[in-house]
Amino acid sequence: MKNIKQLKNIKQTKNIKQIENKKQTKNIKQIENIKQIKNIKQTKNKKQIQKIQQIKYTDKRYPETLKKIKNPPQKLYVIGDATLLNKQSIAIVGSRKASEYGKKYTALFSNNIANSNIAVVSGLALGIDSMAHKYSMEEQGKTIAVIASGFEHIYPNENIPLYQEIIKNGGCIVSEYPPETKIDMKLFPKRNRIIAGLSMAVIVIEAKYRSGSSITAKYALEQKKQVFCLPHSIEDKNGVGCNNLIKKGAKLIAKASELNKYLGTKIEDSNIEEVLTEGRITSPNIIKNQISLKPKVKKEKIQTTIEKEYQPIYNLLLKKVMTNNEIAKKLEWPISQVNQMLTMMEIKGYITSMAGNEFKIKE
Amino acid sequence: MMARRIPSILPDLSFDESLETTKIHSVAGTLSKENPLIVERPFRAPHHTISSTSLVGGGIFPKPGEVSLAHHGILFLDELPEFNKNTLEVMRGPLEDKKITISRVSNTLTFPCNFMLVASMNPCPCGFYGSKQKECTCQPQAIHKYLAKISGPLLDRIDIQVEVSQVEYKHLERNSKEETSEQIKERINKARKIQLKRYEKEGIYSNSELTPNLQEKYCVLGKEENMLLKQAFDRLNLSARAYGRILKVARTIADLEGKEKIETPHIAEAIQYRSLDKKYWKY
Repeated sequence: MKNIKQLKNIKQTKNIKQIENKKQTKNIKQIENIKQIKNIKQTKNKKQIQKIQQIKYTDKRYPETLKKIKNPPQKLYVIGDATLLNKQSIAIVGSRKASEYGKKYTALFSNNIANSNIAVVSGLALGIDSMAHKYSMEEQGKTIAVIASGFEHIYPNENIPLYQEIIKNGGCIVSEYPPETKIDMKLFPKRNRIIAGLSMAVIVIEAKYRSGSSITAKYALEQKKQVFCLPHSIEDKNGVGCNNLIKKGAKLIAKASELNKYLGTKIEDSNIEEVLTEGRITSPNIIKNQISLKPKVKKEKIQTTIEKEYQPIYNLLLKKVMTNNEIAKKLEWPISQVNQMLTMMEIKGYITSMAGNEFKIKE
Repeated sequence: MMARRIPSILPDLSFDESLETTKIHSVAGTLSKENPLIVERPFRAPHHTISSTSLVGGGIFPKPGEVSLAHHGILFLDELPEFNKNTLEVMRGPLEDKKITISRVSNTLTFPCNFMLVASMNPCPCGFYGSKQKECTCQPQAIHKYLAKISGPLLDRIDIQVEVSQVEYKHLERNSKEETSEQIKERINKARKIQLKRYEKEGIYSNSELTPNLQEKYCVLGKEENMLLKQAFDRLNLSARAYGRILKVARTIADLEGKEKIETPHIAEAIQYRSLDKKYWKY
């Protein structure tokens, strides 16, 4: 009898175990189901927001210009308006640590190029690249950003708002890597061939000796495209790459309209550029009204008048960015007085101070 | 180098101040037989490896820290971003209240710490950000990380921020006729005397100790000066704390010139000393 009871017990426990096992497996399945649903939802969300389009080499939408380069990407991942890729575009590239000079002309060129319905291509990096994207969008223009990582890993983090803005404004983001590709410094030089490949010409704003921008220019030359460089002072380390490129035969660019001769485009210069490049800097008043880059601000600037006591400093700063010591030396004023005046001018909103005790006219 | 010269221009220690400082050093056991009374303002320059406990004081039976040992003197922190971030943040309270309460199991003690904080730092890890002579080789993120070691609230408590450019050799060599330390000290002593006399009945020694109530009494501004301050606030996004601090600095600048009223140039100069953080910490 005891034996039988034991047997029964064993059976029962077995049964219970089986049932439990079944329950567990059911639970696990349920959990998995939930996970799957969640995953689907997430991917749906992602797709709804971003809509990653995959364009193969054989696809009609694949840009013709890119097919002509040495090793074209087999597949392009695009977010935004993919038709832009087959339209006219010009690349504007430069260093991450941009100087005021570089920033100013990036703004000008991208503004003017965007005005004539040509897309501006750049790399979504800090510095010149960001400026190029921003200022081309300011004129309701379209812009293309070629990134060197997957869409899930935008680099740098600071530019994620810019990335979203580009998509919102009808531009597009291009990557040759699948969305999950992580940021890898090795990939950066490689994507430069796409920047050069997509565009009709490359404008190098600022490049140090051996910089990423020089690499882009190198690719452009390989692909037999025009390279334009902003001239720099020989002493300027930010411009060594540019000057070297000019030595090697790149075209010097001072106005956006100079592109027309080579590319057959119809780019028009805005007013300020004429003033700055054709040597018409006769009366500071003209520049004062036209120095600002944004047309909206220009109108406001005309209305503001600067008090007489600040005029000497203001006129000096119109010519170039200066430090407080340089201003004091030039005007032969005591440094304390200059400092006070600079503070007052900053408070009144005429100038802004920068790192290294330097001051510039507020835009 | 410049910070080490500050003691040479500090105003003389008054008798009351001397007693207070001596008391703290007596508690800490740092008084020597040769100098039983401290007659010169202390200058403390702890290394950046200092712990927060030794900075503000502590221990099983609380001992005064560097902050209190620098009472009525100077606490100099060289290479500020190299300090432990938590160590720096510990100073926020003492900087504002000028005293620190340390609670331990055995005892709860309050030490005075009316010190002048002097600190120096580079603009970026390589030291050349914003320099004209040499190019900065730092990544933007590296600069940001370096500057982020000094928090906004701490920066807000620093009244005078001056950016010093690199000195060229020709300037080092030149026989200039700049003010000597003795001359500067004379000016400062004069200003201090004005303040001592002015605050005789208030029980404080200097402008830095002014409370908001006393500010209203002693830092009266005219219409023009008020307008300027208001404009500065709108343009430069200054904090409420900055308001009082600008007033105090402006008061001191006026005292140095021997003026009874605070005028616009004084305010402008005081504001200018606050502009550095807006330039570098704008990320």
